[in-house]
Amino acid sequence: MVEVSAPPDAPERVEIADPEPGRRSRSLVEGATRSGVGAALLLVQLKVLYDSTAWLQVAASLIGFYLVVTGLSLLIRAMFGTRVEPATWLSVAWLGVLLVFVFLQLAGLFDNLTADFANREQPPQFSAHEPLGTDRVGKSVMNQAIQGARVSLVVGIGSVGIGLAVGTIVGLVAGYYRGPAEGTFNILTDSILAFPALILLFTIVAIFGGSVLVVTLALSMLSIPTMGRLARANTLTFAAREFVTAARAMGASNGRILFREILPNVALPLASYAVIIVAVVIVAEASLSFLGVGIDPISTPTWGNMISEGRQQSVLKDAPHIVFVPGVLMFLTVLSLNRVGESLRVLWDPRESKL
Amino acid sequence: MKAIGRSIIRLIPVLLIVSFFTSSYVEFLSGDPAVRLLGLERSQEPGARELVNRELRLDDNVVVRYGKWLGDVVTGDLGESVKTPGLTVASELRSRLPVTLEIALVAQIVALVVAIPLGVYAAYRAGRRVDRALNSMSFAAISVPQFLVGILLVLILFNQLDVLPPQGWTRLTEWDWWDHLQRLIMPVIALALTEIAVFQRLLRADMMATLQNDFVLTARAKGMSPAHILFRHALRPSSFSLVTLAGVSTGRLIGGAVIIEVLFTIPGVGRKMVDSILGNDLVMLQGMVIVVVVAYVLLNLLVEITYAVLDPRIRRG
Repeated sequence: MVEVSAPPDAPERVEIADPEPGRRSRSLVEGATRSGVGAALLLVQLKVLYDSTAWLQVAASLIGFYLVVTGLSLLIRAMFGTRVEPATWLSVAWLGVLLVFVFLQLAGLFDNLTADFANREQPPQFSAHEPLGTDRVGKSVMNQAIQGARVSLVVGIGSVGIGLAVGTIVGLVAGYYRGPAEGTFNILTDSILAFPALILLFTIVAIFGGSVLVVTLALSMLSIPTMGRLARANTLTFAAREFVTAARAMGASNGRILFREILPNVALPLASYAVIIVAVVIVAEASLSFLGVGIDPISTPTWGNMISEGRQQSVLKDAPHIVFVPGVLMFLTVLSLNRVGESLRVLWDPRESKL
Repeated sequence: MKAIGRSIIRLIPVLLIVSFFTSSYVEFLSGDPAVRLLGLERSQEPGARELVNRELRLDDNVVVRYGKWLGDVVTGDLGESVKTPGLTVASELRSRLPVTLEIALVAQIVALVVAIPLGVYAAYRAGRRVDRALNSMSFAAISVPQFLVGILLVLILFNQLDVLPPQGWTRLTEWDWWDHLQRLIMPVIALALTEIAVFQRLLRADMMATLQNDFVLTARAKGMSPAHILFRHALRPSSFSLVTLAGVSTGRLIGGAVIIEVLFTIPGVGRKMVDSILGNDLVMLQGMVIVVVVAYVLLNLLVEITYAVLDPRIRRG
């Protein structure tokens, strides 16, 4: 098997010399203007362009999104200096907002999912009580999207959590003891990863039914070998290092070496990859729903369910927001997770750091 | 060469495990297999139950059943669909595998053709405006789920501009080249977009490392043009990981184009696997999965060998 690691692309920090005060206020102004104009464009495209052509809408959203992001980045740079990576902090902020909404939802808000057939396929409008419009049967798209966020995060974090815990331990043991343990480990992970991933998930969910628990466990089937391989590879390099030899010379037991010497070194790089894998898992869960298995769309709305429901030609033509709202939320979440994971990797993975 | 021999030996248990699990799928079905597979009505027809029992070998236990299935597969008999009598797995594969392969290969070629110049240019202009713009764009492209790209393409190119058909497929054997090309465009873009981003980032990183080498400096001192240095001197030593990744992801696409095949209703292998799972057509599923996995595993091996041929450091190791 050829192992391909994610492309190493640590964002080079372009160190700009301390901006003089005039420049700082100028970029403050420019940042504020850009993000203001961008936000306005986004609102306008939702409100005014809704009846117009889709490509115009997409173009307007892209430009608006670009302006907001670059504007906010300029603002962050101007306020906190060049040492801060604005994209990362924007990503953290987005994930924070998402978490706040999920907690509000857990506290009982955004709970109403009653169908209101008279008001179906309403476009997003800001004055009405349904700011993001309604779906085919008149359910609130906003409430569904927020509940979908909860499911995505639970499934993503849950399955990767399992993968991280099990994978780390198995990978540690395989990489430290080598021999038959490693051989078995390699064969098993190779076997799981040789399956087309989506087909494996699809089969499991088709057999055991699409509950949140089954989907989470099925997805952890994929994250265990991925995390395990990374853990094994990291363990191999650390097990050969001097401090392990030193610990052994001092009479430390294997268990102590594994968990007190090697694990702390392996854990952080793995955690940074885990963040990226959460993003992969969220997309995989949505793909399952998209294919028509996955979590039951009636009791539990998820982003994938919503997209799958809105993708039929008849719906897509008249009410593209049913696809776009969950789609944009998913895109932003996946983008943020990738960004944060990437930054953590630069920070935590010693193999990538420039010593 | 020793390493290659080792990885061939490693393949055998992987294939055995994968095929064993695929063939034990029937164990997990609850209820009467004949009813589950054929539905209540058809399972009562004379001979129906016998067909199911024969094709799935329900009279044997798991291990014996697996052994017999494996024997058949090795001798070239992949079995026959239980749902549609007379439809063999081999004939389905013959008609569907070329479709999937075509989409996967075209997508890979498009991805490479777009990504190589972009990656080279980004490395050449590292840290500049164009590089940073490409960097953000590729990062965004990696984060868009495939089905979203597909839906967006349909919305713009069919619903708004009405230049391309939203779904469906024309076989090459129908000789309608223009229609065939039209129906190829959207699936290929949807598949290639992520690949472009990944390839571009990988090539950029490797290329930047190559450009640090002394031979690049020498070439520049001799007054060669940047384009000549980039493409004739630096591209080849920078492309090893790209070759690997392109190979591996082609293998992945053979079984991984499921989403795109469902979205655009393309009669490929991925869609057949999904249909077989939904319809409990076990023999069909087993046959498809084993072929896809074998293709994937062999392609990986091929990549490993190519890599060893390209890079002498590995050959010696």
